[in-house]
Amino acid sequence: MSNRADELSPVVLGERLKVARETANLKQETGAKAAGIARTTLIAIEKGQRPVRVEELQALARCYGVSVNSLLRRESVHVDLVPRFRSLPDAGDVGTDEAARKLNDLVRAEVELENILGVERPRNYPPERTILSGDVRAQAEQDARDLRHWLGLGEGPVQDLFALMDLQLGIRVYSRRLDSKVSGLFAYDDAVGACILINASHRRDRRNQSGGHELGHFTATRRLPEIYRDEKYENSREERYANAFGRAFLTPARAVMQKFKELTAGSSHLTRRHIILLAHFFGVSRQAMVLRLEELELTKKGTWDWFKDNGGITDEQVRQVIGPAAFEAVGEEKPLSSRLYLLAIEAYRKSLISEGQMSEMLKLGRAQVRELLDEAAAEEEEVDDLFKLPH
Amino acid sequence: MRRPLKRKRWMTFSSFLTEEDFQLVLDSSVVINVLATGYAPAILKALAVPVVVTDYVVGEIEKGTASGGAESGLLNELIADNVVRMAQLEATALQTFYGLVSGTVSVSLGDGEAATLAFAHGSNSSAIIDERKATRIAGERFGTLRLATTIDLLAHPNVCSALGPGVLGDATLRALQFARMQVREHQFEWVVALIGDENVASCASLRRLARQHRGRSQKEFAR
Repeated sequence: MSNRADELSPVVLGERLKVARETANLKQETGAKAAGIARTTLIAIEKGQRPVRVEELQALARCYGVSVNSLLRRESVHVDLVPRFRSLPDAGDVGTDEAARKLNDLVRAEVELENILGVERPRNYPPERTILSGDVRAQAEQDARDLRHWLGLGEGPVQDLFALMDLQLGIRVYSRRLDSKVSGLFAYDDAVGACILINASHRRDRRNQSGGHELGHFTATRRLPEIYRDEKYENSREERYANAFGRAFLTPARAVMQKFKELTAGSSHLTRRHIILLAHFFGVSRQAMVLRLEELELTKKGTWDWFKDNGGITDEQVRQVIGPAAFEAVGEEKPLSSRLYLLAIEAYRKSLISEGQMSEMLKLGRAQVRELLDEAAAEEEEVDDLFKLPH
Repeated sequence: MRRPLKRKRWMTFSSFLTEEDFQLVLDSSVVINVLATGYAPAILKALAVPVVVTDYVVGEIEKGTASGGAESGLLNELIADNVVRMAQLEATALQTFYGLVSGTVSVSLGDGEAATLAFAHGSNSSAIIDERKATRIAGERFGTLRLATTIDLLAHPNVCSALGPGVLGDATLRALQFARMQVREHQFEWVVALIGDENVASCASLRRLARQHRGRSQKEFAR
């Protein structure tokens, strides 16, 4: 292979090939077979001791499911979050592996775009808490209250949990359609910071619950990667802490008590309508709301079980109470990653990346990429010089 | 009913493609548009020259299909029916490809774009590509490489006569609405004449040019 001045050194390229292979969860034998070389040759390539030939590079990229350009682009960053998820005891199925790769790809794209554009993501992380011995729920309740205070949130409902995590704390937050069993993923890396991926196929209340849980994870067990399945039994103190943190953060005790008092004033019984209105106000699921009421002793233990045994609280009942428009608004979300999209649009506008590169970085089809670009162009045309940014 | 093409407006633009373009290599940015027309076999057959896509482009269309859409199946049908030939990069073209995907991000291209240019350059064919950055890089690196766009395919005299203005108008409108096909300034009037003024607003990728043209007309009217 030719050796031009702008080419990567064999050591850097070898390292990138190794990360790409590990991310694809492939053994050296598989890569070597695909490239038609001996395993020892691939080892030498990965160590930078033997330059890779262009035909071999082409075969390896195809085998690992990455583009040749992503391996050779100078600014390309190689994040290795996937192997960390694989080391978790409950990892291993196709859905979680795919979700881990999605998160890895999105983080990698965002960091590369930051490098290309010369911008930095400010981090405003609160100090990390540790889980102490004793009642984890009480600790989580206290920590959630402290974080709310630190963020200046007061006691009200959180309007947009994901914007808060993204814009106020500087956590990398994305939502994409994932396997239905996976609710969210959390990872932390010193270089790229905290990263969260939420399942966009879930309804808003469930997404919020996942987000609240991951925020708890971020608060107390930041260094540990996690795959969160909200239907799974709470089998560890960390899990119990994160769930309790999420509940306390989204439904603060005092605010729930206050709202409960207002809504039930004059009523003799707790009805489905009360639950629906409270859950909608705090942006949480009906089940989460009832369990929180039980926890705060605003209703008897077993209230949720009673509702479940008596027909539950149906979507139709929710639609009737909050209206069809509000009901539709809390449904499935369009995959989002606002900041990543802004960076990509800016890089495209400056002719730094092509449509093909943008499509590959964002893992979006061409039509979706063009939709983003058309929307951005339309907005740009409306902008008057008065709104020109000073930098 | 679609209005018939006016002779004068029809003449405002002519396809870049000529008899010199004996083989066409289509990039993903073009394939996506041609498939969205709903008349891909008719358009590509009417060109009466071999049409090639690289295996990289086939792979990109396949990946895009994973996020919804039927493009990959349609492209595979065209390949199976010999309307389009799938080609792989070899020897010199592979080296050219390597040069196009390497370096800093601002001078490198995505795999499909690079493969399209490398194959076209190596086989003396014409690259059909709508992508701006790829067009710029092709101009800088391969001065002699013949370049054209999706609109050049649609405006090719053979395609115009094979489809007729009604079908061609429908095909173009579909590519604009479903694939958000890019149109360059010198192609705008031809496109509007074809799809009809009343359809311009429904094509997001035409908004910027439409606004510019409106602004220009208003200035001329004010004089």
